[in-house]
Amino acid sequence: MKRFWILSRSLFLSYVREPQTLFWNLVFPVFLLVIYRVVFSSGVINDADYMTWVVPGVVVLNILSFGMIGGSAFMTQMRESGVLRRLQATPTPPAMLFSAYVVVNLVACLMQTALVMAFARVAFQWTTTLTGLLISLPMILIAVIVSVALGQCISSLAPKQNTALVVGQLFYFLQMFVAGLVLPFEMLPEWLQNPARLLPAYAVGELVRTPLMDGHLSNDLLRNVLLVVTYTVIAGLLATRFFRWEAKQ
Amino acid sequence: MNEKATENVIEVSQISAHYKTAKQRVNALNDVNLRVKRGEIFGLLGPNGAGKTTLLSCIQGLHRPDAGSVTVAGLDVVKHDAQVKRMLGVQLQRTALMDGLKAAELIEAYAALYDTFLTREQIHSLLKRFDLVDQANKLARQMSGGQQQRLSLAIAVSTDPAIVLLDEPTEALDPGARRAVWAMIREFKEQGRTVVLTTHSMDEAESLCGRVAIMDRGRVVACDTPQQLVAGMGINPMLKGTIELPLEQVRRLAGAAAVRYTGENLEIETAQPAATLNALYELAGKHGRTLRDVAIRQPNLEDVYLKLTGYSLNQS
Repeated sequence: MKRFWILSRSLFLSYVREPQTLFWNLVFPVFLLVIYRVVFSSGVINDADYMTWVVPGVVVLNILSFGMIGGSAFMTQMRESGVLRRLQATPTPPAMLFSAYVVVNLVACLMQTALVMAFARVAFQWTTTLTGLLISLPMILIAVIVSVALGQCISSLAPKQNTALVVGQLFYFLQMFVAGLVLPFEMLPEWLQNPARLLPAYAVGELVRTPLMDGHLSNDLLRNVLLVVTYTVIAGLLATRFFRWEAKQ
Repeated sequence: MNEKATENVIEVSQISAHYKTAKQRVNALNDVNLRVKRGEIFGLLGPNGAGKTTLLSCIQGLHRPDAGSVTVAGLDVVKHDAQVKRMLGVQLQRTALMDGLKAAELIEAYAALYDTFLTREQIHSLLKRFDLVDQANKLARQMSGGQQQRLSLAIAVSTDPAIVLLDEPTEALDPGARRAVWAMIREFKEQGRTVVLTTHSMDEAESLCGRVAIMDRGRVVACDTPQQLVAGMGINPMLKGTIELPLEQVRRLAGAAAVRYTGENLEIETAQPAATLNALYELAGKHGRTLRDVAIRQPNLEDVYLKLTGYSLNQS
């Protein structure tokens, strides 16, 4: 257990000591909130003011960014710099290394989520109920897990760190605009709405937003959970199948 | 020498291995056999692409051979992966540290990965031994190449391993840092550890290694002490000087085995360098010429390598 703790702490420290990581995962989401506030200050969506509606969306976006861009780039960077190879040379089982990695992702994501919510509360008087917050927590964990799985799938398949970064950003920005996270779903053309409902970001967006806004579970709980589980399993299997300890020569 | 001292601690038997690049499959090792004795510094010498790193990776359990077996302290590397890794202190070709961690944190973390939990005092003592106390709170990425390499060595021995495997430990270091690393490697031997290192530097192999395996294109082409390798090849010393003389007369000098000009420099392979030199001075006097820049070079591993492979390490 002590080995697991020291490993997790080391991964966490090397992650948060990357200036880019801090910017994209802590500063950027807050900046996004401010931008949305300025642009859509008087908007009303689903009978709620825009900030009440968009904060859960930014929370989910942030989680996706963390897993699909930050997490995937971190893993490919460790591979390319030889750190993974060095870890492979130790007697620590790969399952423990990966578990520590997932735990670090979970902790960091929860910290970011708390920061976004706290900032929204202080700066924009965003509120939720205690029940809603408690119900949203497992949904946030589900979001982190699918996001990490998708990120690791990208990092396993991408030949280089730059490719992983580009692919991660592509998926991220695609989902940002069409999954109903920061722009109302109804704004999309009708032909796009059905395929967009199949995106993981849409499902986790629904799972996290409903409790935070309305204080109860998502109306399409089973459908959304199944969709997320399917993405997690497929991405996880691909990530495991194509995982490499060292960069391609 | 007692029986324990000559015991083979690493045995590589008939291994073949390949790796894949984006374009092709490379046969990195072909039927390689090696025995490393307990307590020695053993060098794998060869140019890039000779198979040194792949061989070291097979010993570390990082690369599974296509055929053959590797044992460390009697344990099969593939079957007893974790047990073998626990016995090894490792430094990979690229320093490969989590560069967002500080020196002390890195030593603590890597030791913990071997289930070795160091106290602050033990970490401080390691930092002191490797002249890194001032760097204890510096991130790895803020350190110089030499400091990172020393840190990597400190990490390799932080778990007190019996066997230390070092892949190009002095690559890209300046001469001062290189000598510091050499001193540390000699210290490992004095502490009773077995050291296996890869290098493409002749002077490193000659200066550090008790025995050397010369590798070329995935094969071990010779293995012995540097002295025996040189002696066994029957290579003559080389007498060099700058002078213009008729080659047919130089060929008749006492002891001269082979004679050639490289630019203005006369090179004479000779079994009797002193006699040949005297005769050369006499011949120069007869022709009224002055012999300049005279040097006698004893044969070394470079000559052995050239003779065994047909090309020099620097050319490859």
